Amino acid sequence: MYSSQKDFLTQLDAHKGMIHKVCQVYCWNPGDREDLFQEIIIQLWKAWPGFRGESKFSTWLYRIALNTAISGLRKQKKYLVYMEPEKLPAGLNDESENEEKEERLKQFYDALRQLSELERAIIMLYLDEKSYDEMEDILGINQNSLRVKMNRAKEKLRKITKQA
Amino acid sequence: MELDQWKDIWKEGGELPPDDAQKLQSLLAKKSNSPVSKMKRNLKVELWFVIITYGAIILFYFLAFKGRMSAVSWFMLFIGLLFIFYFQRKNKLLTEMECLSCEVKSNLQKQTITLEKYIRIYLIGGTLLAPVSLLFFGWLFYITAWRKVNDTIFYPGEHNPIWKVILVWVILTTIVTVLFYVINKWYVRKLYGKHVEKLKEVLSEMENEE
Repeated sequence: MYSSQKDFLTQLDAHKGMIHKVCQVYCWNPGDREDLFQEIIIQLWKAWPGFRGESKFSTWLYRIALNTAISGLRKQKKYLVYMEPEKLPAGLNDESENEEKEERLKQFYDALRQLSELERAIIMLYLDEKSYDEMEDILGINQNSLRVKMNRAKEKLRKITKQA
Repeated sequence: MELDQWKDIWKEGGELPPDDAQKLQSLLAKKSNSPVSKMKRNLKVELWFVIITYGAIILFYFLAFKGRMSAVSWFMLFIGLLFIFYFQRKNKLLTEMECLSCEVKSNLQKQTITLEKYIRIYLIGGTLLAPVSLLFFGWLFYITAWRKVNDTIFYPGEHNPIWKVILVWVILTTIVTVLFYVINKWYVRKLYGKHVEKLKEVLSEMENEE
């Protein structure tokens, strides 16, 4: 069932928002984001024959996306680039009432990028409402330690967003 | 704004228009640019470089000088075979280096350990080649042109007792080995140093139980 390219593309299309978010959180500029997006897709496709559905597709995807983003070191220029309007997700840039939301989201991504790579992953999983079981399954960190790290990351993020 | 309030904004950030299916499909055929994939490609280039250059040198010394210099070919063949073992080992390590569908922590552990082994092999291989080549070519020069050189400090003769010659070669080999070790160490660090440090940094944060 999981072997065909069509199945893969269907799953990918349904979950590509997650990949875009990982790229936003781990890359500072659009060029790097595009490269990372492409790299994650390639790695997912390479790993696809080994996906047996033992875990959720989203768990499997998160593992590969985070592994690619964290261990696939790339030199990045740490400057902040405003998103071009046409590249903003649909539904955010077509109404003026959403402008504030866009700005907030951009600020939030900027704040997230100030956290360590692990903290970013933890916060991202939290925002995607992953349970601690799933987080442990993705990151390989025990739940007690995860809770401590989560509180610390939240606190750090709170301070950053207050300063902004 | 509290973190929980960000959840809604975060969710909306993931709503995207459907991508052109062909665009996604075209990505599947592209080459990976991950560090490990790049290292694998570089290794292949290195292997072909060694096969072509060593092959040409081996052939040349077997055929030229009526075969009098065939020792060079045999030596290059020996080094070439060692290279194949060295490439095979490096390739195995690169294949084992990552498990992207594994938990992030175990993948990082695997990658860090394997990368350190890879760097060690790179360093040992690159360093040993220099003294081995030096000693071989010193010996070759001695057996092919000894009459002209037996009065130098490098070869035994009337005024050069064997202990003196051995001492000279030991000093020379040590200098060359240390020099190549330093150069290789610098080069390996330049290639992989930052990557290893980065992996270790993330791993240390993950392993910190608190």
